Amino acid sequence: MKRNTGTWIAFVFAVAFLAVFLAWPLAHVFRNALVDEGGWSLTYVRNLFVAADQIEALARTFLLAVCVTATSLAVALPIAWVFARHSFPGKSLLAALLLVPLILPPFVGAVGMKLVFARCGALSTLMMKLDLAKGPVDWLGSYPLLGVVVMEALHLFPVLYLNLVASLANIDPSLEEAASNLGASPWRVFRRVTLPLAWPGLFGGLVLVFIWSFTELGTPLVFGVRRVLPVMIYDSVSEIGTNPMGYARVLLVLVFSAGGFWISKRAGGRRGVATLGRLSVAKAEKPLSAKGTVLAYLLIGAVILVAAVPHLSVVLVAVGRRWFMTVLPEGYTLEFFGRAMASQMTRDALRNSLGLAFCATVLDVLLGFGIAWLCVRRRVRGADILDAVAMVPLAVPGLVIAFGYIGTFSGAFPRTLLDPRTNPLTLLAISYAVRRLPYMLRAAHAGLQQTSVTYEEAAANLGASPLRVLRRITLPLVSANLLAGGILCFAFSMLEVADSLILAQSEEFYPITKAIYALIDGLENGVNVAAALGVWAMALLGSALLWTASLLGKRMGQMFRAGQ
Amino acid sequence: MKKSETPNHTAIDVRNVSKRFGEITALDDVSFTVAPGELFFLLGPSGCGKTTMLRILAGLETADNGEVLFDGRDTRNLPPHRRGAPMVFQNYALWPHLRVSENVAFGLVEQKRPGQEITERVRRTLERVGLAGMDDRSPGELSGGQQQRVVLARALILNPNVILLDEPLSNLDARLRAEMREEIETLHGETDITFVYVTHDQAEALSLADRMAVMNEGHIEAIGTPRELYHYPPSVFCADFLGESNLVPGTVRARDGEVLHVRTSLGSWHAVYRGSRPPAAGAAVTCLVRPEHVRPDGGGGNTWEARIESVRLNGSTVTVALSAGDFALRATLLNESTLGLQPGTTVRWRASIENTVVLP
Repeated sequence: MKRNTGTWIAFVFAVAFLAVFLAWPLAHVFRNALVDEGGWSLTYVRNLFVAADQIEALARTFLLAVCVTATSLAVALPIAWVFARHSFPGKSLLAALLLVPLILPPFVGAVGMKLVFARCGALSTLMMKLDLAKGPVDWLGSYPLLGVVVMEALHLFPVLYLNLVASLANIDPSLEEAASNLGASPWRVFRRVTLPLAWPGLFGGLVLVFIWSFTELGTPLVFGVRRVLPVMIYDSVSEIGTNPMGYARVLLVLVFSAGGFWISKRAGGRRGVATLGRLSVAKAEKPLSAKGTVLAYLLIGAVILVAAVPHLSVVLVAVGRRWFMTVLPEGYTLEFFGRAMASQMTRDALRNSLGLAFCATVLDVLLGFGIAWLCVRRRVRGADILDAVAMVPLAVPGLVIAFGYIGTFSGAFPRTLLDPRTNPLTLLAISYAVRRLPYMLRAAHAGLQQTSVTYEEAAANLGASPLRVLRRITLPLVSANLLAGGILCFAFSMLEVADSLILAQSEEFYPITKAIYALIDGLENGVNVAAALGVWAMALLGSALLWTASLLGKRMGQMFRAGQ
Repeated sequence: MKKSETPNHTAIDVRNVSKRFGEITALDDVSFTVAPGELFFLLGPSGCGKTTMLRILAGLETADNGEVLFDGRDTRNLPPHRRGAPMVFQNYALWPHLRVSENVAFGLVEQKRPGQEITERVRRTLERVGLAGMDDRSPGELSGGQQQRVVLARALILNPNVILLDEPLSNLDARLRAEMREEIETLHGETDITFVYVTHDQAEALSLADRMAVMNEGHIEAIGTPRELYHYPPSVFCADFLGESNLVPGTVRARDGEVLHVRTSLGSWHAVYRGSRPPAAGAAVTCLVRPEHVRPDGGGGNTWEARIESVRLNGSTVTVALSAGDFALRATLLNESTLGLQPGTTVRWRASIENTVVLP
């Protein structure tokens, strides 16, 4: 256990950062939610379950999450089964296309879908043209949660699909063959063997989807669904100093999210021995017949197309001259892109987001590599705890962190760089960094574990000081992982929704996502300009992912299952 | 629907079955029959296609060509879950989420038998395989031998016509293997179920089989009883695979009924031929002498001189490595201290005419 100054500095810095920017805000939330004039009390929390409208909001959030989870499962399960158990031409291409919905935050897609679902929007018009409806249908008015459910399910089903494919692949095929051999028809095999064995992993995925939907802010906000928990928290930010109910709600969301996350890890981890002897001779995948391949393509193709609709809708809104009572826009134009570039707010927003994402990424690389290095190479006592704490943000919704920051820092450091009401940029960058730290940390861990320590030992043996070893040997060897992690951090920070919406209160500090939100209800054709910004964001995120994929190859999938 | 030539006399009839996996030919025109109640072995080295053949019998693979008949009925359109041929899988395939009793009861549940009957039959079958009282354990808690018995019980409980076994003993240590071998033999003897048993272990096959097929690279080399195939193997491959062999090439001089007069480089020999097409005079043949049939010369039979290269003690036997000119031969003798064989000396050896076999 080498203790040199470098190790100590790194350790202290990491601890200080996490203490101030993770532990303190969370503690602040706990304190404000659980303490009233008389000391510790559950009054505020209890209030959440007392008033009728509070309960109604809670129930609506719950219902929303359940619908999203069920829909995602309905879409993901058949597809995962087809992929896990069969081989057919073009499989890897389709598999990649299925992951596309993960690229776009549903917040952006919602901008386009709002118009599609509108009373005189594309869907209504299409149904009238197909004689499925007699007059224009206001989808969002009649079924307020519809837009949110569709957007979130379309965004999340790939997570469940990845999870399911992994669970199914883990099942030794001879277990299913033995069931078939002893008289079980294919459906009975699925029910008695496949499903029970896949269930632990599947359950973990379902909980993750549920929690995500339960805590998602951007999508309900765009669709104007205000009486759900995340949006109510957003609305209560202005009263943060006076009304403790906001804290109570945040606490509830935090407990729910952390609890769900823990359940999910427990469920996924309790892997019964899926095989007791040698691996079986049989391959798990059976080739599909010609008819089967056609059916598979129809099914998967349909899902991919539907999942692409939000992306498409954003593009169409961004370039559509007029889109009223027609299935597709009446004419096309690039004027909205021009207006986006011309507007002061959007130019500032782009500049803000780029700068913030860059700072956050640098911070994450330093912290992520530092903590991983302390754990893997230096094995400092307490480094493992540090590592575990740094992973906590996975279980904490951005909503909670942002709310915590406002409460903590505007109170503690008023009118300084740390006061979000004065200048939110510092805290925005830090919040992005905190939220992405777990992914960066995993990437750094992977890089260090793949690089043998003997390289460093050889360098030291030949006269290089620890710092030189780091610079000349370690960092170059893990640079691919760090770069990949960094690109993802950057891209997802550019499109961070909850923190941006809550922390940025004045126009000059808006990041892209807040600018999009502000434009939607803004001036004439504001929604089109918002969509133009959205298209730009899609292009950015898409390129970033492609670049990372080319760097990392198959290991990409692990990034999205970082929670397991 | 074709029926077998001797109706009701074959439990399984495999006709001209071929199977390819991409470039690889796993089975090439394989045919054999299995009589009802037989303990039939498919024996061969890894990659010879025996497991593929078994899986085709189970319906887990489909043959490219040929037919498989169960009791005279074509199984081409019969999916695995309706074949009634439970299989003992090589890696057991015990379901980890089900207890022992539930594993064993699986097939009965699929047959929709009443609960009472199932419980009773499970109890009896577990007793029969020596696992009484283990109903509530989970498979992970059992030893290898116990797991093996659960898998057997799972198949036996269904009272099937056929049980398929895919190298069931290969995961067990030597002592357990010997024990389980006897158990399988007993279990087979107590019922009239046809067993089709796949293995690469020739000792297993020789000791248990009623009849066996030796397979090599996707085709069948020989079918017969263990005795027939061991003593009168129909090919060099069979000779080598089923036991140790000394192979000596030669030319046929003359024939007298079953006995052939063969000129070999070790001398002029008489050897036995039991095949169906005796070689003509002048034909090149190979003579087989098993090492256990090579003795120090005591008069009579085929003799030759050879130098002793080494003497190795195996326990109850002694292996003597011999060289005669270009030939390396082996003798396996019982361990008797009076042998006094010294490496480096040249001794005369013999093998009786009955034990010198001409291979076709």
